[in-house]
Amino acid sequence: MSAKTKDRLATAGLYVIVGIIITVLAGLLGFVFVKGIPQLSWQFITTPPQIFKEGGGVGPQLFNSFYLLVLTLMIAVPIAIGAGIYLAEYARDHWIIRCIRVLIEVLSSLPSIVVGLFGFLFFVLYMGWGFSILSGAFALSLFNLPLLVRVVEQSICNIPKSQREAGWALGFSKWETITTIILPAALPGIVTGVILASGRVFGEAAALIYTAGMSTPIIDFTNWNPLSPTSPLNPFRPAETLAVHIWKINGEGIMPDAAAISDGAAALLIISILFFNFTSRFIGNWMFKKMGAN
Amino acid sequence: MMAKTIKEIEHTLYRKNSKMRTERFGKSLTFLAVVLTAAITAAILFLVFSKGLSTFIMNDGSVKDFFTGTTWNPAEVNSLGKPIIGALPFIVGSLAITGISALIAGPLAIGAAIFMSEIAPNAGKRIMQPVIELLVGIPSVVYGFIGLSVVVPFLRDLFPGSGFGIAAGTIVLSVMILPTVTSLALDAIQSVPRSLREASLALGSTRWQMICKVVLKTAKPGLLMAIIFGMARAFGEALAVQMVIGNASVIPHSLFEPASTITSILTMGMGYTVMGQVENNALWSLALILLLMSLFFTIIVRMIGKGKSA
Amino acid sequence: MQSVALQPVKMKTNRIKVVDSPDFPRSSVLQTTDLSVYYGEHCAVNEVSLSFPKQSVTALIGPSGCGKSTFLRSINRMNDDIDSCRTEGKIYYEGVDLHSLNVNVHEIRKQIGMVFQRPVPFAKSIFKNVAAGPMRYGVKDKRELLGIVEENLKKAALWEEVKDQLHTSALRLSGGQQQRLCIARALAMQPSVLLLDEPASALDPVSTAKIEELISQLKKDYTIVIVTHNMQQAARVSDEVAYFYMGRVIEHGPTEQIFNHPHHEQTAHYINGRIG
Repeated sequence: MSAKTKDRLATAGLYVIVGIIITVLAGLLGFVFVKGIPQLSWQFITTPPQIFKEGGGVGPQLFNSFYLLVLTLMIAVPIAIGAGIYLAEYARDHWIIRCIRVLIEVLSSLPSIVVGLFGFLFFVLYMGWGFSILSGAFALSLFNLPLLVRVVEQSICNIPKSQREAGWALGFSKWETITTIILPAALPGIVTGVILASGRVFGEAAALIYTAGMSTPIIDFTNWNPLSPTSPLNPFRPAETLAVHIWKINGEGIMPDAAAISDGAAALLIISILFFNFTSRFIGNWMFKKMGAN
Repeated sequence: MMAKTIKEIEHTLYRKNSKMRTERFGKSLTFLAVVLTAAITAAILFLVFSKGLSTFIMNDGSVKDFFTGTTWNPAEVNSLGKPIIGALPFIVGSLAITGISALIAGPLAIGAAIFMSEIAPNAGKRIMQPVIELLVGIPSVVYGFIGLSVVVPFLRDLFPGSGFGIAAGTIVLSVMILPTVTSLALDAIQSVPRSLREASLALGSTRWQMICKVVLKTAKPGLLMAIIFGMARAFGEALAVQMVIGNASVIPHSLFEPASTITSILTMGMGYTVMGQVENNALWSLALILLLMSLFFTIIVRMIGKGKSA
Repeated sequence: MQSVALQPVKMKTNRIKVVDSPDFPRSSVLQTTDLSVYYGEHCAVNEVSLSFPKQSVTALIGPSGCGKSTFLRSINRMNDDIDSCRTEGKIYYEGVDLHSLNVNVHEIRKQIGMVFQRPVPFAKSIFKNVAAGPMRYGVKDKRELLGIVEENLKKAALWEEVKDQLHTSALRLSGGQQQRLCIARALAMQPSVLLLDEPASALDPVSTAKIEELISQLKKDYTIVIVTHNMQQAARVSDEVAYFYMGRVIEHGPTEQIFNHPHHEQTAHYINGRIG
C-alpha cells in the first residue's frame, strides 16, 4: 500500500473515530436534555420530594447543593489562596517543600470515595458532627483543595516577575506586594478557576454519601435562623444534594416517578454545570477587560 | 565616632515600620495553609493505613486470603478461625473495568486529539474543545444514571443476563474518562513543536507518516500520562460503577454477569457495618487497596513526567 | 569574603585608577566603595567606587553585560531577593552604610526610587498606580491622595494627558505614557535618589525625547543615576559619566570631558564605536 493510500485511510479512520465520539457525547447530552427538560418546572425545583407518590420535587436538594458549595468555598478558598501564595512566592527548592508538593499531588489523586470515608471517620464520628452539611463541606474542601491550590499558584505565577520588582522598588515588603499588587492582578485567573472547581463540587456525590448523608429532614424555608433544627441554614443537619439524590433514587427510590425525577434532576445538574462554565468564562473575560489587559 | 553613631540612629533609614512584622505574619500564615494541606493528606494516609491494616493485625485476617480468596463474608470465620475476607472478586472487577476502559477510551481519545490538532484544527478548537471541556465537568452520577437507563437495558436486550455487569461498567467508564483523556492527550500533542512537524513534511512525508513518526513519537510520554490519568479516575470511580455493575461479590464468568468492584462494595457496605468490627475493618482494607492503587498511578505519572523532562 | 575560590579573576591590565575630575562636587548623596557583586561565582561588579553628587545626573555606560544594571540594582538592594547573589564592599547613602544591620530595606527603597527598562504599570487605574505607594505608607485621605497624584503626574509631565481618565486602567496607556507613569509612581514616594535602568530603551523616539526632557527637569530636585546604551542620550542628559567594562569602572568624570577627552583609549573606542 502506498504512503498516499495509507494517509487517506488513516484520515478516514480518524473521521470515523471522531464521528463515534461526537455521536456518543451528543447522544448523552441529548438524552439528558430531551428526557429531563420537560420534567423541569417551577414546582419541580421548589417542592420537596415525595416518598411514596408521584409529583415530588427536588427543592431542598437543589438548595443543599448550593449551600454546600458556598460553605465548601468558604472553607477551601482561603486555605487555597494561602497555600498558593506560599508555594508561588515564598517556597524555595527544599526537601520539605518537595515533600509537601508530593503530598498535595497525592491528595489530588485520591479517589473521592476515600476522601469521603476519611470525612466519615474524622468529621462525622470523631468530631461528632454526624451526617451534616458541615461534615460534607469539610470533606469536599479536602477533596478540592489541591485543585484550588494549583489554580491559585498558577494564576500567581502567571504574573510577571517585573510586577513584583516594581512593588519592591516602591519600598513595599514582599507581603504587601503580594496582597496589593500580585493578588489583584491574579484575581481573574483565580476566580475563573474557582468557578470551574465549583462545578466539580456541585456534582460530587461519592464523597458526600457518608458525610453530608443521604437524607434531608423537613426544612422550613421561612426559618432563617441557622441554629434552629428546621432552618435550611443549620449546618448541623443532614443534607442530601442533587447528585446524591440522583444516585439514591436510582438505587432505592420507591416513588413511582423515580425515573422521571432522575431525568429532571440530571438535566438540572448539567444545566447548573453549564451555568458555572459560562459564568467562569464570562467573569474571567470581563475582569481581564476591566483591567485593560486585552 | 560617637557623633557618627548618634547620627546613624537618627537617620530615617533606621526608622522601623510594621513591614517586617506583617512580612513575618504573612509568611507564617501562608506557610500554615501549606502545612495544613499537607497535613490533611498525611492524616488521610495514616488513617486509611491504620484502619486498613487492622484487619490483618487486630482481626487476624490472612493477607493471602485477602488477595486470593473468592468468598467475601467478613462476619464469619473459616475453619482456621480467620475471617473470610476473599477480596479477589472486587480486585479483579476493578482491574478488569479499568483495563478495558483504558483500552477503549485510550485509542478513541488519542484519535480525537490527533483529529483536533492535526486534521481539523479550526473545528477542533472552536467546537470540539469547548464541548470536551464541558463534558469533563459532568458529574459521574449522571454518567451512572445514563448507564442505568440506556446501557443496561440495551445490553439486556442483546445479550443473555440482566444487563448489569463489567460490560456495562466498562462502557460507562470509557465514556466518562473519554473527555478527560482527550483533553490531556490534546495538550500532549499540541506541545509538539511546530518546527518538528514542518521539518517532517518538508522531507516529503505524508501527513499520516508525519503524525506517526513525529507527533505521536514525541508526544508519547504525554499520551501515556493521559491514559494513566484516565485509568486512575476509572479505578477510583465509585457511584457510576456501582449503579451498573450489579454488585454481586463473585468473580463473573462473562462480561455480562453481575460483578463488583472495590469502590462499589465500599459504597454499598460502609453504611451497614459498625465501626471497629471486623466487617468494617475489612472494608477499610479495601479502601487501603484503593489508596495504594491511586498512589501507584501517581508514581507512574511522576516517573513518566520525570523521564519526559530529562 | 567567605572563600578564596570566589575571588574574582583579576584582569590582565593592572588595576586602572578611577579618574576623578578636580572640579568633582564633594557633596555626594550616594557613594560606593569597592562594591563587588557576585552571581554564584561569577563576578558581575568588581570593586566599583563611585560617588554621585546631589542634584546631578550620572550616566552609567558600557557594553551589554558589563555590570552597570547589576550595580544599579545593588544600590537599592534589589539583588537581596536573588538567592545566588552576594555583595561585598560598602554603599553609603547620606553617610549611612546601606548594608548595616539595622537599616530598614523598605525605607532604602522608599528613599532611593527605581524605574525599570520596560514600563511596569500595575493592573490598576492610573490614580491607584501613583497612589499605591503613599497609601501603603499611611496616607488615607482621598483629597490628600488626589493632591499627591496630581503633583507627581505633573512632575512626570503626564498630568495634562491623563487628568480626565485617572480612573481608567493604566494598561491602556501607551508605552511612553506608562513609563512616565512609573516615574510618577516612584516620585510619589518622595525619594531623593532616582535609579533609572535604561528607562527609554523600549520606547519610540518621541517618548524617549519626552523622558529625556523630564530627566533634565527632575535633576533640580533629585539625584539621578541612569543606565543607558544610547551614547547621544548619555551626552544629552548627564552631568557625569561612568564607563563600565567587565564589571569595573574604567573611567568616571564630567560628561563633557569623557566624551571629548577621555583619558582611556578603551573609553574612546567605546564611545566612538557607538557614535560612529
